[in-house]
Amino acid sequence: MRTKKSIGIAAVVTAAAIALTGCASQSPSASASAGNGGSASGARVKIGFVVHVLGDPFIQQIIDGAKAAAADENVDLQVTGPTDGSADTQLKQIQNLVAAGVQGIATSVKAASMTSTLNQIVDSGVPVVQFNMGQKGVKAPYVGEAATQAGRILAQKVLDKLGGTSATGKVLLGNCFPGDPSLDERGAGAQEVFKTAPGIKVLGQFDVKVAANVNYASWEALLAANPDAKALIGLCAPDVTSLGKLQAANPQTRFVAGGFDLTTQNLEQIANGDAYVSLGQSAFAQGYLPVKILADAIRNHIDLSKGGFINAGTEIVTKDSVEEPNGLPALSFGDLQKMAASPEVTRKYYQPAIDSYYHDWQSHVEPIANVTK
Amino acid sequence: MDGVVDGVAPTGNLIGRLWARRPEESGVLAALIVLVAIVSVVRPTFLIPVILFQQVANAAIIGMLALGMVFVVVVRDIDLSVGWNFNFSAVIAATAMTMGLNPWLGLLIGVAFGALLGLVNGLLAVRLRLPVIVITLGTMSMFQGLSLVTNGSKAIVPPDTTGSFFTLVQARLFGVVPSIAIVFLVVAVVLHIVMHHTRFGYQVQALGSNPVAARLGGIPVARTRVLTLVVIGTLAGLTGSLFLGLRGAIDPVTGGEFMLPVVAAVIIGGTPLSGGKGTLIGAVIGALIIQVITAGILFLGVPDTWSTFVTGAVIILAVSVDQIIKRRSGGRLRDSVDSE
Repeated sequence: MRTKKSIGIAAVVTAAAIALTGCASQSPSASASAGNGGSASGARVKIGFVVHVLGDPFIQQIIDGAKAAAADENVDLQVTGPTDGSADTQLKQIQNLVAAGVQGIATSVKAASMTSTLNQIVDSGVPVVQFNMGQKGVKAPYVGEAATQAGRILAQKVLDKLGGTSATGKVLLGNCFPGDPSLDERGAGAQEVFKTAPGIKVLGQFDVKVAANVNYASWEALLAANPDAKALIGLCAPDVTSLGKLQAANPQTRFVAGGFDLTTQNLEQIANGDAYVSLGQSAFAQGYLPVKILADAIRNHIDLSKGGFINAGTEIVTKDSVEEPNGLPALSFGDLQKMAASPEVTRKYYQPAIDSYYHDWQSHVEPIANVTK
Repeated sequence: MDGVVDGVAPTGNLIGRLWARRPEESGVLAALIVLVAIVSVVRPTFLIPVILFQQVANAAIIGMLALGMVFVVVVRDIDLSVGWNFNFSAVIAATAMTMGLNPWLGLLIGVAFGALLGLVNGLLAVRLRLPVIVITLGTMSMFQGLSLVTNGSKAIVPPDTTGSFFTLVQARLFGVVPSIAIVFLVVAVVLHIVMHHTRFGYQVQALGSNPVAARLGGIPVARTRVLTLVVIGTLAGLTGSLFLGLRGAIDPVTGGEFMLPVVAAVIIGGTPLSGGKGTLIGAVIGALIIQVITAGILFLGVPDTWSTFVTGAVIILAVSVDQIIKRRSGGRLRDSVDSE
């Protein structure tokens, strides 16, 4: 009797948990019929939004952008992604979303092994949009940064800080995910710029890992091995935070720290003066645009299989200046910090872009080759 | 004794006799059926055959690796390098194909290479007299490193993926059953026969049950341990090559995250970490449970912020159902991680 009761209690609790969380998927943030000024007309569409990893602050900014678009565009958005960054798990989640009946898929595509299955999905009539990370062989447009150019911009900012083309010294370059195409492109762009300064010696790319504690430890070891390094540059989101903390822990060893992404932690290091520059890749746009594009494509039967590149834009942030792309209003560093901490403030700031650049996305489609131009 | 089950129908009753003779895997099978039923009640499309068989296909890679892991776990060990063996073998197979070799030959090379890596693990463990978990703590990084050196940190894409190998691996029988699902089930049956009806299988179980008695009884302990690692290595090579056929490419880091779900499938399926006995059918069901949970979360629309919690909760429920059914049997004692 006690055994039956145990099974019953366990089953009821679990079933209740599943049912409650299933009901929670109908929460207002995911299924609002109208937002703050998007084109909410048209039948409700169901879109799957699949990120390459859950639980990352930068990825959460992208998801916030996607949810804002879902609210504006009358979209039932289902967000998912692996917690361990597994591309194979991500692909299976995409397949299951399609089987569950979504009408379109927005996904980052970090692995070449995802290409053929995604193309089969496109061929079956379900449109796909890539964001943040893409593969050229996928029959889908890509929303992201021009990665090689972003690498050039970062390197130029650092080089200018070091004294321009007459600068001398060592620069350490770290990559948290060797083999990732976007990161490789950033690195290639950075190396290209540093070659214009004959006195600068670039060491790396070193594998500095993704997990925060391991990332910090990797940079710490690199600095210990190269205490005379003039600049430390990371290609991934956790790097600026690690480099800023490293600078604070080693005040006797001043180096220029630069990297990517505008997470709260990264901005804190810039505000402290322990990191110099971080480039943003418009996380909000990378979330908003794919959902907007898919909603338009599904309702208006637009063929997305021809692909193309829609530049989400590069943001350049130091303590003294914030440069925003795509005609967005001027911003102070303090405003940027408020945005990083609040999806609502971010949403309000991007309204001009939503009304113009994002609304008119079709006229901003470039050849895919421009990603690495 | 047959038919004597606490609290169930008397011995002479047919149902009672059938209940007493039920397979050991009935608990996890019941858990799987319950999970499928929950999802299907809310979303009946889940029962569409092409979708159901897709779940089997999606479970196939982890499932086949889990089948190999059962042999290792039965002898009281764990192979931490299984994911990177998979990756490295796939990279070698893909490299062979890019060098112009026939993809079927690439498959054989991948399988053989995986077996070789398993042999390396086994010989190191036996010669150095160290547990496999310790050896593979090192070899997993070695395999990863060598794989990255081989692929140059880039995906390897065979130049022509239209040949018979790729077509067959991606095919569906009657347009419904993916061929990789068929391979998965066939491999499971074969390995079940090996474990329970061959001398090697008996040696594996005897070694896991009581290593001292096994040695004194004349079982070749070192050879048996090495062979279990060759089995899992071979399966890693096979799955790596099949993955290549299925996806048309192998990325630098695919497979590194496989170890945990592989071990989870083995444990959920009912093979105890303490060794001595193992269930291949249970490993199949364990892999399917993990896959159904992953798919079910999406079919039920569970928000991303809750999905990880729900996954863990459902796994605990599934294992609990199995444990409770086993305890009710009053038959074989079940080893468990926490001694009672």
